[in-house]
Amino acid sequence: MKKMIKIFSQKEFCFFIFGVYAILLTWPFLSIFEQGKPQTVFYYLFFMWALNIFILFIMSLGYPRLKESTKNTKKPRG
Amino acid sequence: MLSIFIIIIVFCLYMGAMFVLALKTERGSPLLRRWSEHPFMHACALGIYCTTWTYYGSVGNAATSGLLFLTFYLGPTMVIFLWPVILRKMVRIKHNYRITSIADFISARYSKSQALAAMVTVIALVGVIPYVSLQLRATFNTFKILAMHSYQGDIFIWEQYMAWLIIGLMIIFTILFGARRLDPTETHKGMILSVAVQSLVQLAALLCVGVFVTFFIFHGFDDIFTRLASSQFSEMIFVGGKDQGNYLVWATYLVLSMSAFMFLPRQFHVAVVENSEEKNIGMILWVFPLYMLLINIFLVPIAAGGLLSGLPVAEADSFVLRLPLFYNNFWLAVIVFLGGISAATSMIMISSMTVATMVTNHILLPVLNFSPRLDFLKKHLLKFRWLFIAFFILSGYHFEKLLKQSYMLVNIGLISFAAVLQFAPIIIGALYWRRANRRGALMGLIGGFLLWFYTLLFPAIIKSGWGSPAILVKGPWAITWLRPEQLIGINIPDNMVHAVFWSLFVNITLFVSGSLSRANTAMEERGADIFVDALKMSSSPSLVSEWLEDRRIELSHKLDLLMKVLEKYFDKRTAEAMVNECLDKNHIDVHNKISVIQLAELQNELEKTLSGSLGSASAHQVINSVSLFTESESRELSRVYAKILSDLKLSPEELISKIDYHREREKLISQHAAELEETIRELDHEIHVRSLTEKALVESEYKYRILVENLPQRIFRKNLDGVYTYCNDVFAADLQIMRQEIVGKTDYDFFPFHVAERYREDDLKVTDAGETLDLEEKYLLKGKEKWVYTIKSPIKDEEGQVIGLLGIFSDITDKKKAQEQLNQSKQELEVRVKERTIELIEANKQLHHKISELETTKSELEDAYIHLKETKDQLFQVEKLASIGQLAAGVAHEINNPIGFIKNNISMFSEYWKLLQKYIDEIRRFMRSARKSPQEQRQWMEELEAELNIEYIEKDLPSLLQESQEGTRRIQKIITDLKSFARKETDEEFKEEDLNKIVEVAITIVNNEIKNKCELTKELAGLPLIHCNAQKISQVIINLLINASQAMKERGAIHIETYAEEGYVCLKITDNGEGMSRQVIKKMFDPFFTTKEVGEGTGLGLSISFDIIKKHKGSIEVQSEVGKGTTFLIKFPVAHNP
Repeated sequence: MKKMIKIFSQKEFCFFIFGVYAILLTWPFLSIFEQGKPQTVFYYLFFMWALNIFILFIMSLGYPRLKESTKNTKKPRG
Repeated sequence: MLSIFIIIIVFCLYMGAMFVLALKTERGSPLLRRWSEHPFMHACALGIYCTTWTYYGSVGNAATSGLLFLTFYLGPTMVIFLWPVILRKMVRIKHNYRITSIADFISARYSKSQALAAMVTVIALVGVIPYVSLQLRATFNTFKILAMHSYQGDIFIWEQYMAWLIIGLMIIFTILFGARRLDPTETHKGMILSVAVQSLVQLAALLCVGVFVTFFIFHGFDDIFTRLASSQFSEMIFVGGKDQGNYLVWATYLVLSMSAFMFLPRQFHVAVVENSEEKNIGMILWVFPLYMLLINIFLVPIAAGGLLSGLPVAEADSFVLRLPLFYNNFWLAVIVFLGGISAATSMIMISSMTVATMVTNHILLPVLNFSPRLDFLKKHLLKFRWLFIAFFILSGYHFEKLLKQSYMLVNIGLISFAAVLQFAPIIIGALYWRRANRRGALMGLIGGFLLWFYTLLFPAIIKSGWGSPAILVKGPWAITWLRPEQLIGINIPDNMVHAVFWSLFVNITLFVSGSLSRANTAMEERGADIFVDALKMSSSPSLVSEWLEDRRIELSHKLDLLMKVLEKYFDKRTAEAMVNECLDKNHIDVHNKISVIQLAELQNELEKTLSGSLGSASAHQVINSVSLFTESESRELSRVYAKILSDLKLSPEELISKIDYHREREKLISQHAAELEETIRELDHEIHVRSLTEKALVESEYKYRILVENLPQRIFRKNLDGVYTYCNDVFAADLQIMRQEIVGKTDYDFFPFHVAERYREDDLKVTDAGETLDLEEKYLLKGKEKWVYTIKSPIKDEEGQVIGLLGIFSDITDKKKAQEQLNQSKQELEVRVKERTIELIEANKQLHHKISELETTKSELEDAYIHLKETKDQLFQVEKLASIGQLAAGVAHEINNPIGFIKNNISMFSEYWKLLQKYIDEIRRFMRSARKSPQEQRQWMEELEAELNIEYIEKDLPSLLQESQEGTRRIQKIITDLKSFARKETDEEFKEEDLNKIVEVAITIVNNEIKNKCELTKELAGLPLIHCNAQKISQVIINLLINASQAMKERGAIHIETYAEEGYVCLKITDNGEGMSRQVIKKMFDPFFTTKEVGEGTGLGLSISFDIIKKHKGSIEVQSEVGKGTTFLIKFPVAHNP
């Protein structure tokens, strides 16, 4: 799991998975799922959506918890 | 009418609740404040993307265009994959440079260009106002539908009232929570929390309708899809079908929605400007897509549900509301209405707030700055912002009135998305392309916007009826290659795809070529560094210079200058607060002098702070307008930079690069130091925790030791070889050895071999099996043999391996003794129980004997009872027979009379027969002897008949026969009645009888007895049947009649009367005899009581009669007076008494 989180939280993975989804959610993949029962494409889209949420959840686990960016720790100089 | 009031009240309550929520948050309620900053709520606030266009419109889209609507939600879900990179960068930039809007963001990157910011503002404005109209129209329409559902009258007034109520509340809400003050941070916690809650309400409402339609109206998704597939609407669950052109539309919409989700002004505001911390992005990543999935999951079923329920396709936009109404679920419809209100108000408020901020900062302020004569207006920026908010919302309302159902309004959602798409190239370029500059951005934006206007908005305006459609067909001035929807003759079937293609193509081309056409200015370079390297740069860049400590500048004078310019825009208090904040951030003491570098830092910081209120471009302009540096100070600053350059022997570019390097280094060192501090803190904490743990351990060990040492039980520990590793003092005392001497030895050292051997076996059982053993055994204690109870448990290491055993035993000798005594007592008790049992068995036998005796007695009593009953029956019979005997003479006389006249009649028959015989003989003889004439024959016959009196016989003979028959009938009746009376019947012969008939029978029997003594009259009314034994009732009547007749010394009268009365049949027998005294009446029903002479009566007559009447559940009453007579009234219950 830790390994998965590590992979998912890399910047390159963000672009990669975006590209993968850009393919999975457009032609020709969608047309494949329109060959069967009419509702297949509906279920496919929502399944992909749920998978998307799962991937994003894993990504969020690895999202760095940044310290407050405006914090200034310097001593007064005046 | 009531429903209209309900809708208005519910709406007001809902808006009131949102108002209170926002107010409490703004006033600092800790809980609400915490919630407003929670990433979950921030993710929900992003639900502002789902406006009424989603809430109502997507169902309409689903009904008409199938699954195409999903692209508007799949696009954002996809682009969120890039948020950890893009959004994080944008939020970092926003934090560092106080970005307040998307126009500000773009302007900040491209030389703080006012023109660019104004351009972005104009595009946003053009896109937002019709979009606000769309929201208002959806809200008004839903109110109308809801109101008209239950109120048939004219609702125009109510519509107007509701419209102004909604608009008024929206304006007030937006001003109060979105623009109450010129906030340098431009964050609005109250409004964002309210928007988040409204998004959740919207989601909940849509889920309610979805569940209602999918699972209550239909039987789940499959059911809906199956029905849909077999209906005329089967196409609606396809994406593109056979037409691959649809996939191009699909992909275009995906791109549009991605950019809209990122760059729509309201989305940018919530995602970037209102994002208080970068770490919020982590949760937003998955919560928002989940929100979108939930909001979309039921849209297709709702659309399908509406179509399958027979609602018209033209009304598909309002299926969400119409379906609950169609199925008479008014309250669900009200919830839907609230969800729609939520979707609309959130969008309108945030959009109007952001656009008002943009217009104020990027259009109004540059105008005011342009002319010094307008300076006095600068103090009223906030009021201008309020005015703009009201203006936008009211414009949206009037636009809605103007456009109504026009093509433009219907498609404004998509048109707006395409407008916002024009921001995408310059923003992405701003974040990732260093060469991007103001020229390229302006060219790209203007080119893209013009193409968008020409290819999309212009055709929409014409299609809405405001221009000649010929332009679309032939092109302007009949130049066909200028046709807005087929530019340069390229024919793309979908207008949106066409417009997106051209506008984006021109936008990107101009942006790239414009940017490449000239080198970046220093400011642009600086902007590029700030944006492109946002995640690498220091979060608080400051011109730190450790080697410049030359503080000669009087701060107070500089502050006066700054205050003077700030007071043009803010009140004195706000301006002071701003300046103080900047001083604090740069750690400058107001009472000391400062160096020129610190002055530069202060200027920089103030510009950033001012950007929060005025936008970065205006702030830059305002700060530059202050002559903060004197000529000498400017020279000093130049000298410092020159010295740096000369010291470093660097070009200015290299210097900037070095500064950046040092900034980065300082940042890294600061971060490292902070991390080290954090690590030290964590280590301190760990040490503290560890020392606490050790202390707790020592305390625990002490407690454990105290416990073990003071327990009366003997406790020991052995290893696997049976060697003692520990024992307590009590254990050692038993063995009379020092505790230290026991440790390291085995049982073989203290006990006899066979005992030690037994202990060893027990130990092995425990250690081998790894289970606890408990046993009672004898043990040598201080040389004495005692009983002990021992528990031996295995000791296991962390991996569960047995490493020894723990033993605890205690002296139970006393307990054993007590147990033995108990056993003895138990045995004695058992003996006593046995003895007592034998006694009880004996007593039981005697009891059985007594019971058998009682049973014998009971049997005898039963026999006696039967005998008594038989005797009683016999008495009944005797009494009856006595009555018959008494009546026998009368009966005989009754029979004798008819017998007498029957006898006489028979004699007469005999005489008549002789004469008739003779008559017949004479005729036969006459007929055989002579033949005479008919006349002689007639004469002869007449003579013969006269002689034998034949004519009289003929007349008398029938009457004789009739009399005889009557006599025999009378006899037969008397005998039948008598037989019936005398028959011995059982008690069970109860039938439904007519009392009048029983009376008649009784009279027949007694008639002769009484007719000589009295005159019998009767008055018998029609009676209902009674359930009775007729013979016994006859006996009663006969008894009473005989008694009555016997009570008469001279001829009297008896009157019998029957009648029905209140569920009873009554028999009243009245005589005028001698009557009875009171004493006689008292005893008259006693057995064997009689007033008659001895031998005349048995004394049982009335007693039996009384019994009979009681058995028939009847009653008998007597009224008698001596000398006047007696009346008996008998009542029987009617059979089947209702």
